[in-house]
Amino acid sequence: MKIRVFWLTLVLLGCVGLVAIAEPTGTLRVAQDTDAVTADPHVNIYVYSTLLQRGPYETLVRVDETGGTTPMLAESWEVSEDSLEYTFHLRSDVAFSDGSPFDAEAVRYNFDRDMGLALDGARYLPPGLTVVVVDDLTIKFVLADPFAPFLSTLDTVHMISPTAARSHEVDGDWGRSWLDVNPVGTGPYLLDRWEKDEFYVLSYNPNYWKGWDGKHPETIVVRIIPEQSTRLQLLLNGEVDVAFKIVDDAFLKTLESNPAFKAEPQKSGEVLYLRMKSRGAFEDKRVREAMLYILPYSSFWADVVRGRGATVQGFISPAIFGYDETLPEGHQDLSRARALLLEAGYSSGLSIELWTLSSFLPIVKPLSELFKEEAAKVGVNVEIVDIASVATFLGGVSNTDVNEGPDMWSWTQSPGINSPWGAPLGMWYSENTPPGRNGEFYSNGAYDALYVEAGRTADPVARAAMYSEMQRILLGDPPAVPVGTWKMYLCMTQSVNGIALGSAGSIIDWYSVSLDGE
Amino acid sequence: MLSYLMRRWFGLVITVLCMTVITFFLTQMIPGDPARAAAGPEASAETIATIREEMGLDKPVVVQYGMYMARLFRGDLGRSIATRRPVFDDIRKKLPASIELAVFSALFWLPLGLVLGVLCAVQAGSWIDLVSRAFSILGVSLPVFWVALLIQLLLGKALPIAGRIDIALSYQFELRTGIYLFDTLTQGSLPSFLSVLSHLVMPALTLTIASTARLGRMVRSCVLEVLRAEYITTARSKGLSERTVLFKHALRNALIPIITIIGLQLADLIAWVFLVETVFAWPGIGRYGVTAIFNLDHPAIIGTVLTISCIYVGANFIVDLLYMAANPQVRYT
Repeated sequence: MKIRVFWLTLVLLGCVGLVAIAEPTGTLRVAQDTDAVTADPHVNIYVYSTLLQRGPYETLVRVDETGGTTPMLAESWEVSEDSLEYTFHLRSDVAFSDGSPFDAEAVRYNFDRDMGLALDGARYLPPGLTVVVVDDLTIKFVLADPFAPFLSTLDTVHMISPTAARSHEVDGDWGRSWLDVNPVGTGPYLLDRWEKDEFYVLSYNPNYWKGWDGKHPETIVVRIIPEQSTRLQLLLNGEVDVAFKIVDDAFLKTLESNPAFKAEPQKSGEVLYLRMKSRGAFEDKRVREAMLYILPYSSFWADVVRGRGATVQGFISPAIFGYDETLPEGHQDLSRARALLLEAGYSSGLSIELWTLSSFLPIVKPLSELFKEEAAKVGVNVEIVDIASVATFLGGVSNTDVNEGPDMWSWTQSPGINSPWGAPLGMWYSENTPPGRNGEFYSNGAYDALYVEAGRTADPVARAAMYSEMQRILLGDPPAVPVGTWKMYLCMTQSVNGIALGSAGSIIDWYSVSLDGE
Repeated sequence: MLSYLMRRWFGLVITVLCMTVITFFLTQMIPGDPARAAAGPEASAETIATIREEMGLDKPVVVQYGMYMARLFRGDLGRSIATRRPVFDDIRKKLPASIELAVFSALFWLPLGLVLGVLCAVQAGSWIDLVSRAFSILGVSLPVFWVALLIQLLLGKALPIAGRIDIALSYQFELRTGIYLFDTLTQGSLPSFLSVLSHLVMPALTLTIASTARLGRMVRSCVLEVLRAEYITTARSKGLSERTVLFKHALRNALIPIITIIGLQLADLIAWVFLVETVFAWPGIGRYGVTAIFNLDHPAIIGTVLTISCIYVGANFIVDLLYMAANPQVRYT
C-alpha cells in the first residue's frame, strides 16, 4: 500500500512538473512597420490594428489559412434552409479577462455596440441584422436577406467585455475612449503596455480558456520599426524573432540563403491593381480595356519581381473564394491595345497621370516604370507622380469629386474576409463611390445586379458562378488593371513556429505561435 | 541693453507666431485627407466621417485656424489626428528623447569640431590638415541617412540598431524627466543605463560624423582668417609665444563667427535628427514629425514646427547673449 502511495505521489508530482514546464516562457519579439490605430476592434480593423487586437480579443468563428471557417468562441452552428437564420452554440468555459462571463448576452451586446458605433468594425455586416438571445449559450442571427459571406464576416467582430465597456461609458460612447487603449476580451494575450509608435507588449492570459500546454511565448513584444532595412538588420542581429513586411527581393534572398532564418510565403488574398478613374479618356471603356493589354505581366513577375508574385486569372486572388481558373490570364498584346485606342479615337495618343505611393508599397515603383515604358509604345504618355504622404495619396484617389486626383493609381487590395464580396469585387459596386471605396466611380448595371444577387445567394456553386460572371463583365469594361497577386512573406528565425497570416493580411491567431528552445 | 533684449525677445515671439500661421496654411494647402490616413486605407466612409467631425476637419479652414489659435493661447496644441492624444502630451513625451540624442552627440561633435578646426588651421598644409579636410569633405557630402545605414551595417552586430532601450529593461525605472540616461542613473538602474547608452551610440555617432565635419571645416576657415590678420603678425613680431598668439589673440577673435556657426549648426542638427530618428526608430520629435507629415496630421505638424521653432529661436537668442560675453565691445542698438 505504502509503495502504491509512493508511486502515485511520484506520478502526481511528475504531472505537476509537466504542467509547470508547459507554462508559457520566453518572449517573441516582432518588428512591424506601422502601429495599430486602436485596440478597439469595433472602431478599426485595419491589418495593423488586428495584429494587436488578436492578442486580447477573439471572434465567434475564425477563418483559417485554408479559407475554411472553424469554431472559436462558438462550438457549433446551424443555418436555416432559407439562409436567413444562423444559430450559434457558445462555449460554456469562456470568461473575459476581467472575470465576467462570456455568454449570449455578451454576444448580443457586442453586435449592438458594433452596429451602434457603425464604424470600421461593422463594415462587413449586412444591413437589417437582428441578434436574438435564445438562452445563455445560444444566440441567433436573423438576416433581412440571405447574405452568403455572413460566416466569414463573423471573423471580423471581436468580443469585448460588456462589463468593461459599460463601466467606462462616457456620454453614450460605448466605452470607446477607454477601450481605445484598454482592451478586455477573452483572448490568449493581454495588452500589458503600449507606447504608441514605439512598441506594445502582450503578456499571456493565465486564465485563457484553451489553457497553456505548448511552447507558447510568455510575452510578445511588437516593435514599430518604419525602415525595412532596419527591420531586416534587427532580424539578422537576433534582436527580433519575426519581421513583418520584408518585401525587397535582395533582403529576402539574404534571409533565404541563411539557414538560421526562414522567409515563408503566405497565402495572400491581396491583388495589385492599376486603378482607373472614369473620367476623360477613361470614360470610354475601350481605353480602359486597352490598358489591360499594355503590361508584360509574366515578365514583370518573373524578371522584375523575381518570381515573388504571379499573374491572376480574372480580378481576384486564387487564395479567396470565387477564383475562376477558366478566366483569361493577364497578358500583353500591344497591337490589340493600339487598335482599341484607335477605335476610341486616340490615334494621336493620350496622356495620363499615374500616382504611386512607393514608400508604402515599394513594388509599385518598378511596376509604374515598366507600365510607362510599355505604354509609350502605344502612344500613351504616362506621367508618374510618386506621392510621399499617405494622406495626400488617399485624399486624391478617394476624392468625392471625380475630376480631382489622378487618372490612374496603383494600389494593392486585400479582401478583408474570405470572400470577394466586400473587396475587391464589392469596390466596384456603383453605390460604393467615394467616400466609399469605388474611387474609380465605376458603374455597370449588369455588374451591380449580379453583385446584389451574389450577396443573397447561399449556394456556393451558384455564387461562385456569379462572381465569375462579374469578372467577365470587368474584363470587357475594366475599372482596373489586375496586375497580379504578390507574395507576402513572414520572415523569422527557425525557432518560431505556427505563425501565419490570413487572406486579409493580418495574423490569424497569436495562440498558435510557439518558440523552440524556450 | 535691456531694451535690446526686450526688442529681441518680442521679435522672437512674433517669429514663432508667424511660423504657426505659415505652417497652418501650408499644411492646409497640401491636398490630402488626414481623416482617411488616420483611419487606415480600408476604413469605411462612416469611420472617416466620424474622425473628420471629431477633429473639426469638416469646418472651414479659417474657422479651424481660429479654433486652433484660441486653443494655442490657452496652451493647448490640439489633438493629434493619428494618435488621438493631445499633441502637447505627445511632444512632452518625444522631446526628451530628441534632446537626449542631440545633447549626447553634442558632447562629442562640439569639442571634436572645435579641436579639429583649430588644429587644421594652425597646421595648415600639414598631413593632419589634409586628412582632416578629406574627412570634413566626406562628412559634409555624404547624406546623413546613408551614413546612418552604413553605421548600422558596420556596427549592427555589436550594438542595438533601433529604439531607445531594451524593452524589458524599460520597466525597471520610473520616467521622471524623460531623459533616460539621467533617469536610469539617478535611480541606480545600471543595466538600464548601459542599455540606453548602447542604444545611443549609433544615432549619436551618425550625428557626430555629420556635425564634426561641418563644424571643423567652418572653424578652420575662421581661425585661418584670423591667423592671417595683421594684428596677429604684430603680436608675433612682438615676440609673443605661438601659444599666447593663438589662445589670447586668435581664438578670442575667432570666437564670434564660431558661435554663429554653432547656432546655425543647430538648424542642420534638427534636420538630421528627422532622418536619423527614422532610420534608428528613435522615438523622438523628429520621427513624430515625419509620421505627422506623411499623415498630414495638422495639429501634430504645427505642434512639431512650433516646438522646433521655439528651440531654434531660443538658441539664436542664447547666441546673441554669448556674443556679449565673448566680446563686450559689441554694441547693441
